[in-house]
Amino acid sequence: MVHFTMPMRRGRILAMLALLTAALPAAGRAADATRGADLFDNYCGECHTTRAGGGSRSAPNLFGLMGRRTGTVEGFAYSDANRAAGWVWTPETLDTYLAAPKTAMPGTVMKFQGVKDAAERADIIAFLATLHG
Amino acid sequence: MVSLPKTRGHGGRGAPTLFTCKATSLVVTIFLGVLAAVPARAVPSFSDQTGEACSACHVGAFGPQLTAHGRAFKLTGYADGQASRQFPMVSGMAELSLTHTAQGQDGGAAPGFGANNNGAVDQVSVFVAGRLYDHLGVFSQTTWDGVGHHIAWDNTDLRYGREATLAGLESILGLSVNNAPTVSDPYNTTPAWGFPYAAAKLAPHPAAASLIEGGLAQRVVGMTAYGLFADLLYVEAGGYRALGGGPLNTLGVAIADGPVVDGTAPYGRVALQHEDLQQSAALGVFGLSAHVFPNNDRSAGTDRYTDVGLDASYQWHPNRNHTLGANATAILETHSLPASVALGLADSAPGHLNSYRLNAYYTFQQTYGLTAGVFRSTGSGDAALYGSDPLTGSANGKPNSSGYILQADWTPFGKTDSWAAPWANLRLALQYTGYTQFNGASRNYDGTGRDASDNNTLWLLTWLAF
Repeated sequence: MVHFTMPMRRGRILAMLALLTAALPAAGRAADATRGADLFDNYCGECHTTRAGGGSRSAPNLFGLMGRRTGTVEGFAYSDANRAAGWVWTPETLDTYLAAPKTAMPGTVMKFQGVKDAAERADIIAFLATLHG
Repeated sequence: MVSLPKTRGHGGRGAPTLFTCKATSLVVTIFLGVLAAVPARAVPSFSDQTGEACSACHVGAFGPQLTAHGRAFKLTGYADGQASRQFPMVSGMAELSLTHTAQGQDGGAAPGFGANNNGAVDQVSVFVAGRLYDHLGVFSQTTWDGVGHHIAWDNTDLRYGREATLAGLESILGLSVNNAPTVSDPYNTTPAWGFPYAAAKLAPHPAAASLIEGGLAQRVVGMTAYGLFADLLYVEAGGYRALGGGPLNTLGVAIADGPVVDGTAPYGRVALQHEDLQQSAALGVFGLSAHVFPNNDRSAGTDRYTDVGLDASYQWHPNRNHTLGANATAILETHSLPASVALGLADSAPGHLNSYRLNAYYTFQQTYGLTAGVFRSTGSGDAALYGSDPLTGSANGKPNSSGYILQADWTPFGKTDSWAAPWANLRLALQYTGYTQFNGASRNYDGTGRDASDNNTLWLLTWLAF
């Protein structure tokens, strides 16, 4: 079960803003959430689920990620670094994190080297922005 | 890992001796004590521990071929997963097969089996595998051999590994206590985890193999320290010592059936690797140097083996539907066998044996796999070392063998949405091994008229993991 750390209305507004922001041209092109879904499946799908109300695997469920504070999916044992970061996931924080997770958040246990291609990151973020209630 | 029929080249039988190394005994005692202390709860696995499907760590959704994620899991101590989970740590595996060789084997492929077209339960294994504590985990296999009808410990690896930052470099540092050189290795180019990942036990196999190709497997215990620096440089170093007859007997291994290391056999491994989201590559070298008593006969001193391996691998996985890759390994062995000469097990002390393997594979939808490989062994001739027994021997005393392996397999489960995941896993494989040279010759290699191609083998495998 996903719990937001802020009122749902604020979360939805943030998610909509995130969707709009993610759809802004990145490196001269519009972000493509459909391509982002494919990239997410290839890069992230073995560990993360995205189904509303779904559980977590080895990594937390990402439904409703935009606007959520780090380390707050109930029942998931986050790293100390993730819990203590205190970030709110936005297109900007996600872009920084996905580019180099271990550099952006030292101590994270996510075994993922990062998405180096800015356009791919933008597409994935655009997809993640669609995952809201 | 499947145990192939024993190879020759490292001596014959001798008298067993008592366990003499207290330090080794202590290590083994602690090692087994740790394993015995593990609570066995239901039917666990790494997959249950991590919450990930088999496909996250294994090419083709079935072990032992690792993805980059699987290598990271191994290097960090088999310890990933949700700490709050109550995961059991026992898993099982079974191999059932049908074996056909081009010509039958007079007297039966093995005691209790016919000359050809044999069905068998090749092996049944029980694994204790999972996280013991933060950064500490174990992979331990015990196997019942359905052909030889005995039970023994198999590949075992207890390791501690964790991420660290050294001089600003993201690194993984760890320690492994294991029972075979290269079991600790994260790549699928080294002997313990190389292709073929399973092979027919009821078919003839070439007699010669270098020492590092299983000659010391389960007969030693070793400790290695390793580090992966900046996701670029992998370094591992350590040593292996012999287990005594008592502990080996307890573990189901006859000490007189193979070489026994004298002192410590140093092992080392260096690899350069590159990994990104769609491909990975590695290029490395590994090696072992060992003084051994042939078949534990200590009356004539020791033989010395120096094995150096060169390996390379590449894997391309543009998405979860396609994985394409290749592995290449060359092992160059030089040996000096004065003890074997004195014992009448070899004619010449100096010699060499080189082994080459190359394979390429493609997996579609993590389900359908094709692998094609070639292999070749060449070395110095020795009529005593490579005797002239019918079927298994060499009439000209040469170890040279070569051939190819083709495999097609189907792995219906093991994916994120698979039925009964992660408990139900199946691989159906059809494997064909063709020999162009066997134990020194293409024709009449054993002096009784048998040709290398007579050993060509068609093997149908049902491989279960649960």
